[in-house]
Amino acid sequence: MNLNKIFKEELSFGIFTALLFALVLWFDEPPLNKHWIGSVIYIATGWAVYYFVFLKSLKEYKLDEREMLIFTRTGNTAAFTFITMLVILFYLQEINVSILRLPLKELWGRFLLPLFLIAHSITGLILIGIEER
Amino acid sequence: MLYLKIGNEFYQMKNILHILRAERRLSQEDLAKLLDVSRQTINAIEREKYDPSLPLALKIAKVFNKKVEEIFFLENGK
Repeated sequence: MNLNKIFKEELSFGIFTALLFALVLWFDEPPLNKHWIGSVIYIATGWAVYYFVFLKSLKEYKLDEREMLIFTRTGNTAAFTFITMLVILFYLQEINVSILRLPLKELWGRFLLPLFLIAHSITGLILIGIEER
Repeated sequence: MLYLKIGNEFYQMKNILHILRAERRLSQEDLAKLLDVSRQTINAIEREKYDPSLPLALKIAKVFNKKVEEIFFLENGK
C-alpha cells in the first residue's frame, strides 16, 4: 500500500533527521562553537524534508482520492499529536539527557522537525490501521 | 460509510461492486488497476467503509457498462 510506504519512509526520515541534528551539536557546542553551520544544516534539512517527503514522494506514489483524504486527515491529527508532545517535553525540560550531557530544555527546540515527522508518520500509520479494521 | 439525511429520513449508501467484480472474474487488484486506484480503496468501497467520489463512481460505472445508480444506491438506515 502506497500510503503505508509513505508513512514508513517519513518515520525513517524522522529518525534519521533526529540523529543528524544530534550530530549537529558537535558544531554548535564547545570546543567548535560554529553555530552558523548548525543553523544552515537545520534550515537546509527542513526544506529538503518538505520537498522530498511532502512534494516529491506524494507525486511519485500517486495517491488515489481515498489515500489523499487519509493523508490530509493525518496532517490535522498530527498537528495535535505534535502539540501534545511539545507540552510533555515542556514539563520534562529539566531532565538531563545523559548521552549529550545537556538538559532537555537546551535540546528540544533543535528537534522540532524530526519530532513533527515522527508524530505525523505514527499518526498516519495508526489511522491506516483503524481504517483497515 | 456515510449516513445521508434526506428530510427526516436517514439513508446508507450501498453498492453491488463485489457482485459485478465476481461476475467479471476480476480480482480487486485487477479492478484497482483499471480504475487507477489502490486495491485497498476497492476493498474499502466493497466493504462500504468508503464512498467513492462522483468521478470515481462514473469510472466504475463505465468499466461495468452500467449506470451509477445500478451500482450505488441508497438504503433506509436506522
